[in-house]
Amino acid sequence: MKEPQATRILQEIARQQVPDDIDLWPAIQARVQHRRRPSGWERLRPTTRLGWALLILILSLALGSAAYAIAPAVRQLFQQEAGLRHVEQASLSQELNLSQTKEGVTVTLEQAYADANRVVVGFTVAGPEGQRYDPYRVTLTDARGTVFPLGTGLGTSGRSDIFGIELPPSEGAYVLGFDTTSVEDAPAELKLRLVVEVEKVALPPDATSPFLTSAQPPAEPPDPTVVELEPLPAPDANSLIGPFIFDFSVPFHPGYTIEVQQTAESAGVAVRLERVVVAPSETRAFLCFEPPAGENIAWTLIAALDVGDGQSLFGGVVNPTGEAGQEECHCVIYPYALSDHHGQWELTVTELVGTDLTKRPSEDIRLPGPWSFHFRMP
Amino acid sequence: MEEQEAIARMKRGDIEGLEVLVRRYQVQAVRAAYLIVGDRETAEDLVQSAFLRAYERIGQFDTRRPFGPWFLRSVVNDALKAAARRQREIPLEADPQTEEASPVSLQADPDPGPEELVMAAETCQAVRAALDRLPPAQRAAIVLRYYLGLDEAEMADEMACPRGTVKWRLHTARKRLRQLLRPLQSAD
Repeated sequence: MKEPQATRILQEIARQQVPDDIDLWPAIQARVQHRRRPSGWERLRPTTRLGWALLILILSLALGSAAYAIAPAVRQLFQQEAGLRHVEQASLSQELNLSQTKEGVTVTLEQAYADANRVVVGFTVAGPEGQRYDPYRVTLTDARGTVFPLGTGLGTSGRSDIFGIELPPSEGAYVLGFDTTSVEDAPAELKLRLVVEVEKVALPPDATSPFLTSAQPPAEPPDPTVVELEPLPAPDANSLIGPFIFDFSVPFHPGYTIEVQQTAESAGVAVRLERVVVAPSETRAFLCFEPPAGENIAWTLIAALDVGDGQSLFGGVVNPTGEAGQEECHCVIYPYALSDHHGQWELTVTELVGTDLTKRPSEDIRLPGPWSFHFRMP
Repeated sequence: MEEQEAIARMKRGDIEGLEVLVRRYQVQAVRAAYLIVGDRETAEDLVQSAFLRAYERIGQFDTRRPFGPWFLRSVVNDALKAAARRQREIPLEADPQTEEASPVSLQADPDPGPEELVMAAETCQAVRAALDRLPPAQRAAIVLRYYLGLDEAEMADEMACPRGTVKWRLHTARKRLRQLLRPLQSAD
């Protein structure tokens, strides 16, 4: 009885100080969002060569016993996010299957989709056997040359247990989203140009084995919040192939833009919900407020969306716009298909979180809300 | 949602997967950390950071292994470091009696175990106070053994030290607890 008694005493001590109903989730969620890593879609966004390298590295885990889909890899990637899954199921995506081959490398633009929030393209890259080429630079423009900013993306090469995809080591599949906020007047279709450059990368000695092994837990870095990455060297011009240029058109799905223009005040801060854009692949809310304190404090917010079913959806916040110290506007992205949820919606900013960048370690300032907004989805 | 599904979602960056794991392990993790650092706020902060780190590194996690032990080990390690820092910042009251390093048999202890003495103590606060006076490594040993229920081999793995060191820490911790709680027992 010795050990059970000791265990009971320790449990009692711990229970007295730490009750069963503690809830760390709101604080953890705030910290996740504050790090601008709100969703897989955004988290996996490759914006640099290094990002691409990490994307491939992380997503190419091969751990063994997964079930692999028969569906093409690009379609399988579309299944990874609720909003794009809906796009696939509703057959809103445009089949293209446009291929180009240069120096033994074939890039195939398989499908594309466009709405008021984003254009999403899915393509594959296939190198000669024993060689692998990854996207190095991908740009999307319209017929007038307007560049759509790269937003978020998913991708894998070779085999991925996470996505249930098995490709030869020399092939990769990618789905990238580009911001379409700049599109005006809701055209029936978008005429687009996708330009892809690919870069040769070294395959591991045994390309069928995982890049990462996880038999042992990862070593602890000195500071868990800081991961220092060495920049990659400039690309060797000889390792780049392209550009592969694809001109195509896709139907444009305008969705609904709700001009809310409501202001709510709490904790001495006025927050304005400007508008909500509900498109088939995702919903975006645009919220603005004047930073409550200091130019060196980076602010973000936590915003829950209830589309009338009593459930709270949480979105990811992308980098704010606005001058330092002046009103800044934040776009909250909810990667869900919400177009069919008509009726009364409620958006609640539960907390504003500021990080004092002058402090080491940085310190958070938390302003509790709520700032609540009610509006009708037509 | 099953744990495996939650981990798979986390690997895709879906924070719903993280929420499932937070709700499943937060209480046990905060309590383990609290027993080591002796401060709830610090314990909660440590556990929050550990969850964030798990979220960021979940891509490296082998899904064939259970998440709980992997995560709790991380929390205990963090708590041990934090307790060591706190000890450096706030020196513990000297207790020469308990600083002895006399040869100790690692066999069965003939004296009454700490459990009996613990049961004789009037309040849990007294035990808490006694725990606080243990060096962090010994406190962690007690928590791993009696709160998380690890055996010595698992503890050696958790604390990254030889099994003999674990035995030593446990024995010394028990001895110190016994000494610290003896006045309470006598008062009864």
